[in-house]
Amino acid sequence: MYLSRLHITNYRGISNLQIDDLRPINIFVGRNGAGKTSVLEALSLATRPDLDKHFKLARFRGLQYPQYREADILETIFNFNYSKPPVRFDYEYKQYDDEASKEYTVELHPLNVADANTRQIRFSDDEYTNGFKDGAVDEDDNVIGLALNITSKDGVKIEQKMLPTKDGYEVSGDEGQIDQLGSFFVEARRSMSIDETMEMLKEKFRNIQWQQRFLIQVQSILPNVQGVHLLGNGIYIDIGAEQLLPLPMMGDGFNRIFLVIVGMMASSSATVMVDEIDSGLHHSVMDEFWSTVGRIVDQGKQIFCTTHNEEMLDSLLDAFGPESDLFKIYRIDRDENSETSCVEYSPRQFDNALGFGFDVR
Amino acid sequence: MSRDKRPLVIDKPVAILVEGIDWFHFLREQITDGPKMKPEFENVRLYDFKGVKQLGSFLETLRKHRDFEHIQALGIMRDIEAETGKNSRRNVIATVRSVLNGYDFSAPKKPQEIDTSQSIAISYLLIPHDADMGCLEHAILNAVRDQDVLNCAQDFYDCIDPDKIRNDNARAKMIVRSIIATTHKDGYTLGQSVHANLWDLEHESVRVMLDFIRSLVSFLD
Repeated sequence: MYLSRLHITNYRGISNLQIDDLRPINIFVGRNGAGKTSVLEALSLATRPDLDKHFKLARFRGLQYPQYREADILETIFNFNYSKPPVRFDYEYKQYDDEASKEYTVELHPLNVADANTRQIRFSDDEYTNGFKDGAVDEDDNVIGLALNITSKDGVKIEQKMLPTKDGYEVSGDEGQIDQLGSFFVEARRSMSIDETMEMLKEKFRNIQWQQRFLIQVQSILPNVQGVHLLGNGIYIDIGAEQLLPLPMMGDGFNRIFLVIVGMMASSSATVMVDEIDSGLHHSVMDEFWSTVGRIVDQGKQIFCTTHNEEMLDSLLDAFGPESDLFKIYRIDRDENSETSCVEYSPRQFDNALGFGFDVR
Repeated sequence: MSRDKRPLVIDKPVAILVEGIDWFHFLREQITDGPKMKPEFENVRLYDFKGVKQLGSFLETLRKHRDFEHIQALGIMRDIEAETGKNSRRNVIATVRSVLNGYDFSAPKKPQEIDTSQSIAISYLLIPHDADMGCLEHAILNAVRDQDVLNCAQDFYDCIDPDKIRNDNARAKMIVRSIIATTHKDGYTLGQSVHANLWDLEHESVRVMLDFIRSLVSFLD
């Protein structure tokens, strides 16, 4: 099963955007501020539409509690404007083999005090800066929680609420049964913790054959690596030096690429989202990187990523060719009225544009 | 296809699409003054759509470009060589109109007419403009300054190809190359030959190209 299309309404800076005909590999390009990362987040939410994920995605943008109030994080979801219609995602999953599809709609509403049925406590400036109390709102009666409604064409209806508690937030409501692809998200600025990476690799490394396949893929993109070892609670890299080196010592670029490979190979999620996929990747291994991605999508994974990098796009075409149906490039544009649009390039159209001398980014 | 230079941009309101790099440089040398455009052509950008079979792909690429909306007038110049046989000119007109329509552009019924039914003015010019067959080089041969040189080159090709194995377009291209080779500069390109005083650029068969561009420039706001 894969995500085949998505319509985004009122998410972050995107008021209305349709993205059709998603492929196994999907590359989003566009100018700074066009909304590429927002599209990636929206796609991620369409693979697992729960409230906790909205919260985590907001944190990707650098809004980490306690520096920012949790209300600030919620506000980013609604782009600081609660009067507009709810955040909405309409999306479709398809089967790879028979094209059977399922359509879902997810709506996300802000909850104020009356909605949440919690008592209102006025609080001082000091309390304001130190975060929320139980059920508290600020004097402007701003949003304190989220409500999530999921409906499908075949009659599934799920309602969830996320409300503040003493210790943070609590999600209540239906668990529901809907198809979820799940996503492994590699954000542009930070990488996953060693603990989380360890957990995934520990499980997979029990299978020696998987371990060998993983090493081959790592070596194809990071050719200096001679071995990857899990020792105690750490991941150690053998680069032929006298000692094994802890993964964090290998540098940001290495760590990020390593994480992307882990996400593509070890994650149980059916989709992998990588913001700025070229970050940390040397140009000499870009072709091999895409070949690796090609082998992984052959096993059923779907990849979504953003890039500004011209060489990364050229190598994509070199790896798969202009007649490939494996990938598409989507340019996200934002016009002078801040309206967002998406222009698709098939591999053939991308090849033509390059051949005529135009840039698709 | 691979990229070997800085990407093209859409930064001028008049886009002129020409068939092939020779044509591109032949026109470019006439509308520029050193590195700058001549004032009357400062709102013009030339694009090479490479060949008649690539015109559709080029129009599609242009339409998908982020800055496509900047274009207010679009002109296409191509020769008739690809469509041989009787009624060649009529066939080419049908082909150009079909390609334009296929990519949601309106298409004038005749060459040099300008269609203004859409937000951009659209026109096309077939070269030679007054013939039923031929190519850019036929138009240039009409404008050769030194008739003796032209006759000599024609005699030479009659001599080496008495059975006319090469088609008329190939022959015209070779004669143009031969005339360029008579200059004291080695390896002149068709574009560079613009400055070699070989051609009467005011001759109608050549001037019609710049007049075509001027007619589209006149449509700007």
